[in-house]
Amino acid sequence: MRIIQLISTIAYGDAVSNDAIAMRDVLIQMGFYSRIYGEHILPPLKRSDAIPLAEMPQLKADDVAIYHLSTGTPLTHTFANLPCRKVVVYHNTTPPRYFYKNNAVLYAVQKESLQQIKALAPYVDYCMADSAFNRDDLRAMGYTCPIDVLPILIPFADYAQDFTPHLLQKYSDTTINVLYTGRIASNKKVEDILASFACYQKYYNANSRLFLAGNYAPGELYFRQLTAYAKKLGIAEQVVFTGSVPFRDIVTYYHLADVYLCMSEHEGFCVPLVEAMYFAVPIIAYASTAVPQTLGGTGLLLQDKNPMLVAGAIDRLMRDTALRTEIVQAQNVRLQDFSYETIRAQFMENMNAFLEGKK
Amino acid sequence: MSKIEIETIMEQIRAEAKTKDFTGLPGFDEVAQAEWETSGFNKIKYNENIYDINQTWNVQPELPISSRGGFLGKIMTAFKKTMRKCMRFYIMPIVIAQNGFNARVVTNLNMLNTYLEEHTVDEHSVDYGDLKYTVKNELAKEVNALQAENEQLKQELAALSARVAVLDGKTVSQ
Repeated sequence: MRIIQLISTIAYGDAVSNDAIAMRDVLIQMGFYSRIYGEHILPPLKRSDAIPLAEMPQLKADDVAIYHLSTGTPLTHTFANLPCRKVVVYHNTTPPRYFYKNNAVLYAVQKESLQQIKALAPYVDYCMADSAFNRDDLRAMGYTCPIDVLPILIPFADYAQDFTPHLLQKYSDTTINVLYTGRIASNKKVEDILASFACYQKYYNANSRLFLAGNYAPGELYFRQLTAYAKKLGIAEQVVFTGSVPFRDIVTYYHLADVYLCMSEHEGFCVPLVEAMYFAVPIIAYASTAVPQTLGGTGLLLQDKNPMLVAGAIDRLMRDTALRTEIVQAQNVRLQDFSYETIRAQFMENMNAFLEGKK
Repeated sequence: MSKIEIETIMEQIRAEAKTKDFTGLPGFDEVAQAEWETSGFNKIKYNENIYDINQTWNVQPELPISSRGGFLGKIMTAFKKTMRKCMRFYIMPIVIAQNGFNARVVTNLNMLNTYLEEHTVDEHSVDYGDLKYTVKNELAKEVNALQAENEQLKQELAALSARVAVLDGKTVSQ
């Protein structure tokens, strides 16, 4: 019996890709033949990480295909028609409404994604969802098969990297560093981060800067809108759009950060929250979708996005050492729930139960 | 952290925020709208780019090797040709892959262009006396220009007719 994984795009540093690679390693440790097949394999990943989809072998009825579902792709049709047992790992997909005003292509892709995910429901034998929010999403889309919640398998060992010297040299000063990591995408509501930071700059602490550490296409409309907005708010010089950077740089930004700020309105799990926990950075986050579940009662969870309140929360965290320590300690306890060993054991248990027909 | 503590903290933050002279922020939507408007679709520019990419998509992997002549030039040419042969195994697969990608992109853009030409629904209508009809955007511009030119010619004709009438000592009825 073979257990293969299918993924649309597999890229270095990407949370879903890391999840697939970590699962593959666990499956091999469990004694199974396991490979990852990808539609798009981006360098520097090598053949040892993933194999082009065109080379996927003919599967048999007792084989298992695990599909990492996060966007619309022809791979969904391929997966639906495989003659083997089918498992979906659901990472959620961004609702198209977030792209309506700034990315016609993504708007169309995401609209089709939702249709594909719904259409796939009758073909799937078992699902694992990153969060309870994702599980409920699948149920709402007509999935009647067994679904377990399995947080993303994060190989924390990869985070033990040396910091980037020139970043440390440039930014190690008395300035308060506010950090956001992740794609510069409209569901992440980066404009709300900018507005909150502008209030913090103007009304609380001018000696501060904002790192927006995430990938964007330079000509992309949403990015241009954000840079224009930063100028309008008068904070353009205090905001650093890093663009796509090596993981070592991301680790360095976490090290430099005084607070992690998340204003996202749609998250299926939100790996950066766990990363902030790992680097002992206190989190301020807006309570939307899976964010409260991932935080699990830790961090400073806001029900209101009023930029003055967010700015006030940043200020309070910076001034109140006891609160800051308490939050970081609570985050550290929560982090244990996402430890590699814990999630690995849960994944193995889920897979064994599925293979034994108990799911 | 208990929920009650967070609520207490937020109440304190709210109270403190009220003491600040917060005058509001510019909205993101208006800035976003302004950026969106400057990124509008320009069919003329699109046509120019389509023409350019159809001419340039097929990248040649080997540039012609030239030399300034003479004995040293011949040696240099031989050396460059040898180097080119040595690098071919590495360069060619990359160029072939890139050209394959370019071809797919250009083909898709050409298809999209054809689709646009076939499906453009224009809201511009032309009103020319008894003739009233709707045409495509660019055509509408051309017709409008021709209309203006025609109007100018009519005025010039009327002026010439008036001068001829004066010269002939006749009255021209309009």
